[in-house]
Amino acid sequence: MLYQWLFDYALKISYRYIHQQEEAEEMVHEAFIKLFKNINRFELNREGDTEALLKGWFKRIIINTCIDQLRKVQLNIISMDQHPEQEAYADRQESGLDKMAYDEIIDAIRQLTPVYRTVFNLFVIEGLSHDEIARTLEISVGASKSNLSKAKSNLRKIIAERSGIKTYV
Amino acid sequence: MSDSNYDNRLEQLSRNAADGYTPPGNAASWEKMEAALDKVMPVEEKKRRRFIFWWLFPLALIGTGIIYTVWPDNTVISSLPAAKDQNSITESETKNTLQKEQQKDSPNTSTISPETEKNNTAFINTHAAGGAINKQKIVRKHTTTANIWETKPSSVISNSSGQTDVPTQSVVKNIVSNPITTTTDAVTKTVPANTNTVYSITPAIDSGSKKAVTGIIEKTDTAINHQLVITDSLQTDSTISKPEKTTNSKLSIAFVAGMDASTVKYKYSDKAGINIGILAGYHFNDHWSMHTGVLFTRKNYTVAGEDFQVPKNSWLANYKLDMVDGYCNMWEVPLFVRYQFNANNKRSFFLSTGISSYFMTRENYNYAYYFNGQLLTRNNNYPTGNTHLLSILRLSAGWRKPIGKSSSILVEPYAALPLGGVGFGSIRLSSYGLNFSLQIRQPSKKK
Repeated sequence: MLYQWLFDYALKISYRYIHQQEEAEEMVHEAFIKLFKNINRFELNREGDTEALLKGWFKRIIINTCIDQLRKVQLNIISMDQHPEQEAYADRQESGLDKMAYDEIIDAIRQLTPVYRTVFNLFVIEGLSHDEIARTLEISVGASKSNLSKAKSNLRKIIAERSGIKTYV
Repeated sequence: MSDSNYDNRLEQLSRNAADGYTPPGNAASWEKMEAALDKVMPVEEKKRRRFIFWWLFPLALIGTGIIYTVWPDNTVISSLPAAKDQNSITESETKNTLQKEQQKDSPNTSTISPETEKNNTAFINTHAAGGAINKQKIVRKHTTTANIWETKPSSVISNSSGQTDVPTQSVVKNIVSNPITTTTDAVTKTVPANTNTVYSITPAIDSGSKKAVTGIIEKTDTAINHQLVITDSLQTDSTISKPEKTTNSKLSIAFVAGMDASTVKYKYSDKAGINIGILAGYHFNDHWSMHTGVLFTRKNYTVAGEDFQVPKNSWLANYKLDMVDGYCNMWEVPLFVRYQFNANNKRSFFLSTGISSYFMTRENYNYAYYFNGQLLTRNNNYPTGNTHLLSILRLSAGWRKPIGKSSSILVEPYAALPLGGVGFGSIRLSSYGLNFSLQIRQPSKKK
């Protein structure tokens, strides 16, 4: 069954973008509805692994659904945070990064603000360029780069806090 | 670890984590998904099922109408075997019948079995036809009888016979409806004096089988009485050289009411609409006629967003349209020809085809559209409608049942198929429905 096959895959993606667990599941269901409604548009005759193509197509649906939801719920989500945060650097020599499990890393990513989280996910995990991110989120390329930089910075801080390493302000 | 290395390591771990982590929460819950789908998609399924009904309903009606039209009346059915027997009767059968009837001596055989009755019928008919020695006279008599039967159905026969039971009528009817000339020929050629003995009725029947023969006598009496009465009538009306012939007017008028189901590309259906109006017809002959008139129609329908062609200057052109549901009121002016099968029968089947024009008077739509990813709805009313001349192909079939000298009831399933887009959204609106008509065609001329 298509739903059973793709549910975990969809939830993994949705969970990285949407902070609330229930809301992430709702996004998965909404993405499935879009998939079922538009399944006739999926071209089976395309060359390549059909399963991989379908997964890729569905992934785009999920991501777009999540971004739409973030826009709807928090209108300023995409606006660039103009308040420069104080840089906080962990002692990278004693980074706890390697000691973290996958779930902890994802949990750290989910702690980011929506805008940073979205840009980080799109750039680092989905592999989009800043141009693509700018078009997707309707922001400038500079804003995309800035948000990514701050996302990484905040992520370092979160990871350092979780691993008990002091940060220096 | 440098910033660059740290970032690279962080990105790599993040990608690995994205693939390898297990999200918390419930496993796949189809129940939730089903509930979510119920809100969006199953409605469509149910409506489609209901729409299948609208396909089957007119087909079933047409089928029923054909059967109803083609299937003969009960009286005709009952007369058919007798008629068949009469036609196939031979000298030997006649003799055998006579012998059998005369040999039935038992008092217990007071009732006449159906087979016997059938034989009696043949017997009577034979004598009714062959009782007169003059073949030419008989032929003339029955030919005229047929005319009387057409113009004066049962009153003369029933009043004069005094025994207006159904078998008696059917006997007379059989006489009328059969090729008497042939029967007469057979009897004249083959039936000897033995038959004449029976024709002389009571005195001639001298066998001992009173009860069994009584049936024959009664029947024979009845048949002969009929013939006598008919003969009398003939004598009375013998001056009539041309029978009265009533012709219907070439014009007819019909009052129409019915229901209508509309759809666009068979994706969705909506609640039924209505038709009401008046049609005038011109009848070229008993079979062909042409009709036109005006029908007020309300059509309800639901349209998928992609099937609704939004005008470019409309505010809707800036949004993605998901679905439209609404209704339109209109005057429909159909122009169609009709072919009537078996026009003189009590029930007759007909086919019609033609073209319709729509004069819309109002359109009202609820638009469901996306705005920033959110589904919103908005209602728009268009009081000044569009005109679409000759834009709908109209096909129908049905049956007609006369309910008087000048009136008929028509039951007519129809399909109205689009030749072009109609309305604000240029939708390809197909309609199916069922119309009931009271048609009045005054019998005006008598020749």
